[in-house]
Amino acid sequence: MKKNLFYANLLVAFVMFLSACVTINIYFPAAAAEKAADKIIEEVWQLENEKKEKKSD
Amino acid sequence: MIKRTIYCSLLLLFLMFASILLISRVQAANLEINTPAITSIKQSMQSRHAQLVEHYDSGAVGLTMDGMITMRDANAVPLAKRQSVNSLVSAENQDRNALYREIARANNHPEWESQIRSTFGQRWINMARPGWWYQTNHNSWAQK
Amino acid sequence: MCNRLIIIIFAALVLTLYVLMLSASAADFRFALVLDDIKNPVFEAQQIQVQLTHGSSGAGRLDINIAEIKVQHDVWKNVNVSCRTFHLEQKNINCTSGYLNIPGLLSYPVSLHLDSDSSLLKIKVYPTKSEDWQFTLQWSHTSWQGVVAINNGQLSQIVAWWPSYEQMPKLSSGKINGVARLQGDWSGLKIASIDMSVDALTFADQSGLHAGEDISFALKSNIARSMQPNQWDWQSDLYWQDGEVFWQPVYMTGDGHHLSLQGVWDDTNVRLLDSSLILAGIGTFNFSGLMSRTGNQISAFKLVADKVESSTLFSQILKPFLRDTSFAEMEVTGHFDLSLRLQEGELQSISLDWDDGSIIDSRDRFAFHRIHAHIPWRAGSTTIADISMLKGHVLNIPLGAVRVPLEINNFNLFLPQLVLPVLDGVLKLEDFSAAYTENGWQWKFNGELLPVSMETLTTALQIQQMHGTLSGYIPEVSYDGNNVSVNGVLQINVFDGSVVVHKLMLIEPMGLTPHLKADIAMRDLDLELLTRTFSFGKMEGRVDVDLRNLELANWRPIHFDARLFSSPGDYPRRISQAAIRNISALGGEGAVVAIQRSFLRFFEEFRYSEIGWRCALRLNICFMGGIEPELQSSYMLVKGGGIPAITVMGYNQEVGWQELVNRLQRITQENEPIIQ
Repeated sequence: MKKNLFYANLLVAFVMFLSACVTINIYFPAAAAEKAADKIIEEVWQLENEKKEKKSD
Repeated sequence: MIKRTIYCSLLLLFLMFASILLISRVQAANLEINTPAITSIKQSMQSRHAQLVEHYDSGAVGLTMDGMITMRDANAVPLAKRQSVNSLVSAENQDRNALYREIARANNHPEWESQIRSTFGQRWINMARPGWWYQTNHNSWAQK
Repeated sequence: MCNRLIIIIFAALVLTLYVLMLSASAADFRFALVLDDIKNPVFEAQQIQVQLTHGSSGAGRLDINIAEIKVQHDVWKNVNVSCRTFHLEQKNINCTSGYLNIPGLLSYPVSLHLDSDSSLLKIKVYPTKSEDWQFTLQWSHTSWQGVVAINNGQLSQIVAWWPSYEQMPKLSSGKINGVARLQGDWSGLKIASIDMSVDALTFADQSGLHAGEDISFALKSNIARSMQPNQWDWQSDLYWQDGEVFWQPVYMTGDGHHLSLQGVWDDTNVRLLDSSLILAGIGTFNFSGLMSRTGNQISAFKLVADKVESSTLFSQILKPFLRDTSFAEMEVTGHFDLSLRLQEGELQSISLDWDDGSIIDSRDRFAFHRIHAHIPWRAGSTTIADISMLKGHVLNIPLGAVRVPLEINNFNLFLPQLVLPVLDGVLKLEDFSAAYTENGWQWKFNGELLPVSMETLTTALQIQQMHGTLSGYIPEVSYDGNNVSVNGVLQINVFDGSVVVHKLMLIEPMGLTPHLKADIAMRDLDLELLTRTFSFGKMEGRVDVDLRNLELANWRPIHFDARLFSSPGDYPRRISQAAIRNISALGGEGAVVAIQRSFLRFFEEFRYSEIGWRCALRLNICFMGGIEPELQSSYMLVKGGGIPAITVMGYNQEVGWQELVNRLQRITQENEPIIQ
């Protein structure tokens, strides 16, 4: 039983390690970055205005 | 002892969920882009865009993969104006560099700069108007 | 290449005819000659057929066919020279309507005239109707003279025969007019001179980054054999009169630039003497030098320029190279004298005298006026520059007159002491040293700021007027190429209390978005002075403020942990009705619970025992709190004490920073008339 406990702990440690790794790897919020980029690009290139202009046409 | 093993497994499950939750939480978050620095860079780029747009249209200036712009075909610009287009391009690139750096900084992750840059690189190209030129993978040019 | 080819062909032709002329005097004959091979280090010709039909009238027909001509790497096949009206007489030969045809290269009408009496050979080529090239050769038994006169020569045609590379700019048009003269004796060339002008020259490379349009220039050049063996005296003048050139990143228009070169040329060296470059609107650069022809290495070079116009030199020539730096938006004025010397390819010395100059940043980050500078520089030794400035400013802070005796040693600068007037105070710099490294310029200094009054500083910075003084001792300020960090403490005496700034750091101060980081601790500030200055309702008492982890981006706060609390000690603690109204307004509606409006009306002033406010600014949100310990859903901003007492509670724990600033501005603006 003690052995079981040991394995369990080991597994926990492993999972923690794994989750830590995973968290770091995909930590960069790609979707959010795209959203932020789109928002800035729209403002800089004034794409909103264009859309509105087109609609009003 | 069996009980303990169960506890261990439960803990394990919990940890797994926790890690997933952590990931999803981070994923869902928005990037901060409303700092004074970002706003001022944005404004500067916005006012420059009015001057740059004719050169995007003519193909003189193109969008690069790494979120910058470059003089693609200077022949499309009258000789006397080439120098000023040059300076426009370089000022725009300075702003773009500062923008990527500031976004990374505003979100307390200066190390994200290069990822932010490449995200922007794709998005600029994606949102470019028809007729504008952009760099492709093979370092050649394509037109939207 | 082509000219030479034509000469060679005609020389061959002429020789043949000359032989004929001497031998044949018969009235009517037919002549044919076949040569298999002519070999020469310069050219090779195979299967040469010469055919001459001569009529009785003296006119005839000449045909020369060459199966293959090889000149160095170029090969032409089926070259044909023909003369339909060919006059052969005792003393002269005339070919008036000849034709030269080299398939794939050219096909031109030509004419030839040879007079053996006057030893004159004249060949004229007409590549197009409006264009002709005339080659004249005249000789005696001691000397010879050759003249090439070009009328309306099309440069684009000539260039078509030159080897071309993808990267090289391509010439699309251009006309050449002028004369080249060669004179010599039978031992070789003695004098050559060129007087040519080129008009409407247009060229461009594929990318368009090296291009010129409508260029006109004149070239006058003379070369003469000197008394010494194998030595030539030469002289050239190039006048660029018109057109424009963009040669990445420089753009120039030709409005009277003049390059004059003269010197001596021998087998080993090219020596430049009294040469000059006059750039219109900029100045005259005189230079001389010595270049070895073997390694193309400059063994000596000297340049002297007087009264050079800084503004045009900087804006036209230097600025394009600085466009990626913070100097790209600079304007420079004044005149300077420059001299520099190179020896064996290495820079030996520079001397720069700048008279009444100025440097102005077009984005107004800095400006320096009335600069006089004498900067000597010598490789491997220390020199002292004398630089003075009458006034200037950096980031809105005015600087006074200063004289800098700067020690220069290669790329290291050192300044033992500098006293720089800043506003009404003085910035003393000590042990300033700067060095040019891989990361650009780096510098550091020790300093001391002797009291600057806050009135003048706040006026200069265009912020809320404050009273008091700013002073400090700075053990070390350093710049590592990106950031300025201040190791030490800046002390400000203001509002009868003290403000200490430490860990001050400026990130990319000249960049687009400068960041400032600092920790600020304020002690015993007089609330009455403070509230009066900012036109906030009157409060009496003293406060301490801690502003930790302050970060400004573009001079606006984006991050800090602020804590304001009553200073320890014994002093009157009163708060006015207006101040309470303002505090409650700051907290937004419903921020105040402990005051009732009806009750408030009776008293002008209240007593308090403690004031406290906290704000943790994270980008745009201020997370607020009050006197510690805090309650769960509210916090106490003013804790009452005495009679009449008042307590102000806050409930709003998160406020947008901009909203808070707007409210503050509204309050201080509304209150202004009351205070005055």
